[in-house]
Amino acid sequence: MLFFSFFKTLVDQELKNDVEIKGTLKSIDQYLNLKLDNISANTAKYPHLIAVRNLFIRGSNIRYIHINPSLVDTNLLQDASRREAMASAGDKIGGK
Amino acid sequence: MSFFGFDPSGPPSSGEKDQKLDTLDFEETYEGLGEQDEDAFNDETFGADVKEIGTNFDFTGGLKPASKPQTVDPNLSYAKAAQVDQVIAPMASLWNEEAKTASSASSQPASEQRVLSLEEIEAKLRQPQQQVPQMPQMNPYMYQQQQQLLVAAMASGQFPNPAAAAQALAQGYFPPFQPGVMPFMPFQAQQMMQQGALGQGQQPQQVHPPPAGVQVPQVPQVPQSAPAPVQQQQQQQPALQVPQALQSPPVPNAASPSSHSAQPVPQSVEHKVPSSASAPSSSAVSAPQSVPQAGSSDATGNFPPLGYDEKPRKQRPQRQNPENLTQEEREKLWRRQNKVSAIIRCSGFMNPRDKDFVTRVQLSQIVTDDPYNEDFYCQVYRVLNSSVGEDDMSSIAQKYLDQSGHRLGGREKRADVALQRMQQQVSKAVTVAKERGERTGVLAKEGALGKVSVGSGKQPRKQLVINTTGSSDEVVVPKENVYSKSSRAFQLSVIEDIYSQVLKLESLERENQERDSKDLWNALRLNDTIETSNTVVSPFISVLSIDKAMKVFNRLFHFLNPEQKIKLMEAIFANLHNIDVVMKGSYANYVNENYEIPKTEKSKIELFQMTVMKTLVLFVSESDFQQVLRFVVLIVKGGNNNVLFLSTTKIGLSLITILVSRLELIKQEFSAGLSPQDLAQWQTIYNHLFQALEGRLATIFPPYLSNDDARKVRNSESNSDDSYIWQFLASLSLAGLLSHQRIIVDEIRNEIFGSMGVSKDLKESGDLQGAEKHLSNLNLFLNVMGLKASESDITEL
Repeated sequence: MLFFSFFKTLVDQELKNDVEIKGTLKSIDQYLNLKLDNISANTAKYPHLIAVRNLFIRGSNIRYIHINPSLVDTNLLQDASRREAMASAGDKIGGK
Repeated sequence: MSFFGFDPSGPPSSGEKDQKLDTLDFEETYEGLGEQDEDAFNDETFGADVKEIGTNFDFTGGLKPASKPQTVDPNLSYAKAAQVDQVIAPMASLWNEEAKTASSASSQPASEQRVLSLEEIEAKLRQPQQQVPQMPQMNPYMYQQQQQLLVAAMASGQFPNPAAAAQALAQGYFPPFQPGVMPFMPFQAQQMMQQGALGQGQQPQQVHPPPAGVQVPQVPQVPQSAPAPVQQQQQQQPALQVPQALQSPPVPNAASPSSHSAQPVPQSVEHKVPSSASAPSSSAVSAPQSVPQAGSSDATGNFPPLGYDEKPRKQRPQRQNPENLTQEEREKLWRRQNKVSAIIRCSGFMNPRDKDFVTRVQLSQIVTDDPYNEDFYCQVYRVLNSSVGEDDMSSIAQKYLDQSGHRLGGREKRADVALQRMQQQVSKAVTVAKERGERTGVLAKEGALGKVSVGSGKQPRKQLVINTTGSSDEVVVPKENVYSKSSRAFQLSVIEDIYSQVLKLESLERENQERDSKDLWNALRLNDTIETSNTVVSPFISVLSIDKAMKVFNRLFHFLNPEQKIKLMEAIFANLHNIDVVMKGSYANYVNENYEIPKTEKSKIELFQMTVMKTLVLFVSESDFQQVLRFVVLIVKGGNNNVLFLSTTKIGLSLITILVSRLELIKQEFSAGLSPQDLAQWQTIYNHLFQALEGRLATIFPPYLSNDDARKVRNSESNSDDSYIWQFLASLSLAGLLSHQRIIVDEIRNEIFGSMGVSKDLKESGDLQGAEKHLSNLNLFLNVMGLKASESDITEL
C-alpha cells in the first residue's frame, strides 16, 4: 500500500512501459493502475497514440514511472516505508 | 435450507409411507449389463421408446414406488419430453400451433395424473403449502426486491426444489411458469415472445378453445391484461412496427412499486397449484380466483413479474392512436423507443443493494481502519501540505464520487444525498475492514505443486512466501548476516533501530499518550563501544555522520528527558573530534588537494549544521552557566591538539564560538546569579583554551579563506563566507582580558590588513557589496575591542 499511498499524492508524472508516455496523473488505484490525461508519446514510433488524449493503463504493464523529485517528500517516504516494514516484521505501531 | 434446494427429506409423499422400504443389494441391481454386447441404454439415450428403466435411475433409495419414474408416458420419448421443455411450454401457449403441441404433449401426462390415488393428491395439495414458507430462506436476497420476489414466488413457489418440480412434471403437471427460468428472464424477453406471437398476426389464446392441458388457467388471463386491446390494434396494422417498440417497458424492474408484499404471492401460488394440479378441468374457474389474491397487481393474472402492471399505465397515452401519427413521427417514435430499449436492456440488473455491495467491495480496497500504517505517506503528506485537515471519511467519499462518476443520487441534483450515502458506504467498509482485522494477511497454502498464496489489494501476493513455522527460540543468524560492529551494515542497523523507536514515540505523541524514552535511549547505545579506524567510540557517535542519522537527530532529541539530553550532549562534545563529519571537515586533511574539501563532505557539513548543530545550539542557548561550562571543559580536556584541530574545522570552530558566547552572555546579563567560583572556573578554562590556540591562531583561517599573503591559497571555496572565523575571534576576545586581545590582534594582524586590502580592491573594482561584506565581518571582531576598520584605516569607535 506504500506505493498506492505515495502515488495518491502525486499530480504530475511521466510513465514508461514499452512505450514511453508522458502525461498528467489523474487517478490511481491500489493495483497502481493509472489514468493519465493530456498524454504525449513518441508518435513517430507509435502513431496509434496520436489520437489518444487520455489513457487507462493497467498497473502491471508499467515498468518505470518518472516523477518530478520536488513532488516527493523523501523523508516522509522513508518513514512510511519504515512503518510498513515494521508492521510486516510484526513490530506494528498501534497508533497514528 | 437444503443444498441447491434439494429436499433432503425425500419426496413428501405421505401416501407412500406405508410402503415397504425395499432395499436392494448389489446382486439385485446388477443386471449383467457388463456382459451385454450392445450399449444397453442406447435407446434411452437417443430417444427410442423406453419400456423399462429398472432401478438404475432410482435415487430415492426405494422410497419412491417403483412405478413413479414410469408415470412418464412410456410412449413419450426423452427427445419429445425435451421438446416440451418447461422453458417453452407457457410461452409457447401464446402461439397457436406451438400451444397445441405443447398442450397435446402435456395432456398425456395430465391424463396420467388421474391414476393418482386420493392420498397422493392430498399430498400434492399439502406439499406447496409446507414449502412455500421456506422460500425466504431459500433465497432471501430475492425477497428484498419486488420483482424478483414476485418472479421467485411464481417460479420457486410452485416448485420449491428441483426434486419436487421434477416430480410434478413426471405426474403431468406443467407449471404455468418455469422454475429457474422466469426469474432470470429479462422482461424484454417476455415481450419479445409476446411480440413474436403478435407478429404472426395471431390472436391471443383465448380465441382458441383452451386445450385440456394444465396451462389453461393462465391462458385466459393474457387477454384480460391491459395490453390485449393494443395487441388487437396491432393486428389491424401488422406492417406497423411502432406498437412493438412501444411495448418495450419504459422502466425496468427497479421501478416497481412496493405495494406487493411477500404474503399475497405465495397465497396465490398455493391456490393455483392445487387447482391446476388436482383438478385440471376446473382450472379455468380456479385461476381467476387466484388473480385477485395476487397482491395488488391488477389484471395481470399470472403475469405479475417485472413491472408488468406499470406498463399499461405509462404506455396508454402513447398507444391510444398510433395510426394518427404521421409516418415521420412514427419513425421518430420508433427510433426513440429502440434507443430507450437499447439503453434499458442492460439496466436494472443490479438493484440498489447490489450496487451498494459492489461499491463497498471497491471501497474496502481503498479504505483502511489503520491509515497510519497502510497509508502513512498520504495521510501525513496531506496534513503537511494542506492548511485544512479534512475529514477522512468524507474526503474519501467525495473523491470516490468524483472519480467514479457515480451518481447514487440519480439524475436529480442530489449530490449531498449521494455523498451521504457514500460516506455511509465508507464507514461500513471501514467497519468491515476492522472486523476482518488481522486475518487479512496473505494466505499461503502449501500443496503438492508448491505454495499457493492469495493476495489482496492491500497486500499483494508475495513472490516469496517464507515459512515462519520453523522459527524456534534459538534464532540462528546466517553467517553472512553477522556483521562486525565496525561495518557499515551495523551502523545502519543502529540508525534503523533509532528510527523505529522514534516512529513509535511519535505515534504515541500524536495520540497524546504517555511516552517512555528508555527504549530510544537504549537504541542510541551510548554505553556500547565500537572500534573505528582511528579510535574507540560509541556506536551513536560513529553513525552521527551518516545522513539519515543526522536527519533523525532533532526528532530523537525531542523525546529524550532532560537528563538524557545532557548525557547525549556531553557525549557529543567529548567526542567532537571523533565525529566523522567534523574530522573530515578540517582543511588540514586536504593539503595535497589544494585544501579543497570534497563535495560530499561539504554537503555533509552543511547537513550537520542544519540538523545536529541546530539542535545543539538551541539546547546550549537554554542551558545554564555551569552546564555550558562543563561542555567547554569536555572540549578542552581533549588536549591542546584537540582544540587546535577543532579550530581548523568549521563545525568545531562554530561550536566553540557558541559555547563561549553563551558563557559571556550569561556572565554579562545575569552576573548576579553567578558564584565567584563559577567565574573563577570559567577563567581557568578560558586560559586553557587560549593556551591551546596561542601562537597558532592564524591557523584557524583555512588557507583558501586567508588573506595573509604568506598563507593564502585560492580554490573554489575562496569566496565562501568567512564570518564564522571572525565570530570566533570576536567571542574569544570578548571573553578574554586586554592581554588576550592584544595577542589575538598581533597573531592575526596580517589577516586583518589582508581583509582590509581585499575590501579596498573590491570597492575599486566596483563591487561595493563585496567590499562591505568583508569589512563588516572584520568589524565583528574589531568592534569587540572598541575598534572600527575601514578600507584604509582602523579607528577607535
